[in-house]
Amino acid sequence: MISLLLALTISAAPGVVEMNEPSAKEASIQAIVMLPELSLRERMVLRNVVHTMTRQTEEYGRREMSMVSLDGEQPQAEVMSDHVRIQILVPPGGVKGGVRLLDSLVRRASLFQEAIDTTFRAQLKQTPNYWHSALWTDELVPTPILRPEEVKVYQKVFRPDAITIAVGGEIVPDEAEDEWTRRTTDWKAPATQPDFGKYTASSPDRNEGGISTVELRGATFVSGDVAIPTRLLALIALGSGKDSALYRIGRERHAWSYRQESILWPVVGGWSPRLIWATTAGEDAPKRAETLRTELYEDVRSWNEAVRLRALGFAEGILSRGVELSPLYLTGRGPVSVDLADRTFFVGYWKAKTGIAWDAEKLLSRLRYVTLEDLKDAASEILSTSEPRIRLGR
Amino acid sequence: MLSVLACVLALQVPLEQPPRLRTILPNGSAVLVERMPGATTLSVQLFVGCRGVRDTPQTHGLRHLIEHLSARGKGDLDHRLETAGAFLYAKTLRDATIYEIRCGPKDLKLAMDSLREILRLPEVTDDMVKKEAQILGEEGAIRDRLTLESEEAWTSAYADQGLSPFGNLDVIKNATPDMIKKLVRAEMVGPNLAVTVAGNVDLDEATKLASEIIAYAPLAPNLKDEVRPLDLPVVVGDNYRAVKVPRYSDAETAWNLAACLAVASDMEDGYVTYTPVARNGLIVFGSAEGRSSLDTTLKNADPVTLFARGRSMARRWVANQLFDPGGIAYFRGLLLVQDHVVKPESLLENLTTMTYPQFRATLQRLTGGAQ
Repeated sequence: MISLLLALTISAAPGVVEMNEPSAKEASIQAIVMLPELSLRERMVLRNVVHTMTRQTEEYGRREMSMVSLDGEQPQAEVMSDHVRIQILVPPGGVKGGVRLLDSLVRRASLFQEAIDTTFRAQLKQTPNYWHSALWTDELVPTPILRPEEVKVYQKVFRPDAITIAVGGEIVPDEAEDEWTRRTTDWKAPATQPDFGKYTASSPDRNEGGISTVELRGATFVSGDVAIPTRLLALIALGSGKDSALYRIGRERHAWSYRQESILWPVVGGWSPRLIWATTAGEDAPKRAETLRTELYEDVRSWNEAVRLRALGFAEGILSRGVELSPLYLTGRGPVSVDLADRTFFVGYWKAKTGIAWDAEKLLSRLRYVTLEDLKDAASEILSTSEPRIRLGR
Repeated sequence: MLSVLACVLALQVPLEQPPRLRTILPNGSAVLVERMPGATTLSVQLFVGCRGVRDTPQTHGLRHLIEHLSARGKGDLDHRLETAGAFLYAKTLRDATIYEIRCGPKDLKLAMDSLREILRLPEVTDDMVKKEAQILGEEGAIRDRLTLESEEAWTSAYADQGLSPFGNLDVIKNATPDMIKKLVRAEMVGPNLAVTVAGNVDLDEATKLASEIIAYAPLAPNLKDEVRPLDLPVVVGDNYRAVKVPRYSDAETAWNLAACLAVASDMEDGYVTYTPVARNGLIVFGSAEGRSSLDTTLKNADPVTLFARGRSMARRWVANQLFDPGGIAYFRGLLLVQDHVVKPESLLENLTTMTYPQFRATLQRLTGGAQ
């Protein structure tokens, strides 16, 4: 009834994706903004932008925004490595109002200096946990931002050609498309783009709380890579689920880690395969990391049909039943789930990222044709192209 | 054995009609099956309650250790499940341990066989305990701030009756196979067991299969529970507040949940944690930003604005829990294993009858000192 498998989309028009589910009794409206290449400084500014823009626009204050949404909640916005996602949940019949609010947010956010400073102070109070630090290896620590710089980044990112609107739930077909088109036909992005100098990452290289994280990050591949099914299955075999190689070796054989995952990490224009595990190991973490990598290699060499079938079964669980330990890390909370908001986001995101409509059944059928030898080769490639990245706990 | 089981099944008394069937077995265990035509996911959950074996400082963590050991099954359980596209989740709460098999609609028997395997704890050795204690040490180290704050709030509120479900690593490390065997024997009694099933299944077939795996457990007629005291109702932490609430089905719990959700929605990154419990419990709320956002929001909390929002959000909180087969089996089972009568919907009824003066008084109690 509810799965990524059944999240069939109707592409209403370029830039608008609809997913009609009349039984939902609510509607999720989202703007998915694919990012251009950004400097580290621009990324830091963008993290401020997405929180500041939801405080006030030319037409909406926080109170007015809450009146648009179901239950009076504020729109939510987050930055991922290759996109920005803004979402709002509205009651049935509230889609037009939601689209109006999104239009206002992406084009006419107020970005007042006082609000920028408020966001900045709030960011300083947040202590990233070990997993966040492992995922976001090159984040800059927030520093004060002046409004002109904030506005430049806002204008660089929020451009008509970069935005996909995704609407899901109890909706009237074409309503969102009509409203979005009517409101944005005259929208022309600024011709020039800001140019910022190069900055060096200054994020702390040690995690709070004494937890070390170890990563093996394979070579990046492009969004439309024809070998995506093979690479995805290899990643699952390596690190997704309780019978994956990483779990069997890192947790069951050595008891070095409780949490270990494989991640298909989106980057601008492509994907990075990543294996990450958390450990209380301190100075001996590098040695353990190398041992683990060696043993993973050996494990891959010994893979048989049972391993391939386990990975395939797990992939089906992810796509059809929303098993949580999915490598599809597309939200700030982790893997994309199967609730209405995430499904709506996913169909819009996939279209924006790959240029084709999401078709889980097709992906599953391609996964079934991945041979054992191809699977082993792809897993070996992930391991051979990766270097351990370690963040020690303090 | 078969004749005993046939007799047991004949004595089952269905208390509700489709789409949901609840069955209380003669040994005090319970089965609930919810039929969801068209659902692509099937969730089968085993609940092991802890009446009679509640954590004490001396046993603190043994239930969690048993969860880890049991979830291994015969050793290759995860491989078999994952190959079939199924997955095993296990977690230990203060009031129950839960094992869930999430699978496809045709895999009901696989799920039941897996739970049966989990119920038969293998022979435990000192080496197994030692290794699992090491893994639990890794698990304990990665608990996040909100979890630790919640544990602190529970201990402040209920002392030894609010011990964390995670446990004490020293107790876990020093556990012996005999201690574990004894605890399992005390835990696995009829009234402490429930199985819930939610998905596209036949009610009778699922009820029969679920009954077969827990009907063997012995009766335990005199299981007693201490009452968590409700004095000093509000706990003030550095970054959170917590309010003691009576059992889930009590109207006051619904009012408090509505008030906490409404207040948290006004905070920057506000959060509320509440686990449905058929005895006195605790709602913890705060802001990921810390104390200043919490204090400001509490100071400015306006009952007129928050009343309708709180009621609506609490309703949605229930609806979100009952969103999919996994949520339905979890929510219904967690209440069922503690009390056969309490239902998730009781909170909705209490929200409907909640008056503005009741909400305002609840909010004032929560914000006490801040306004």
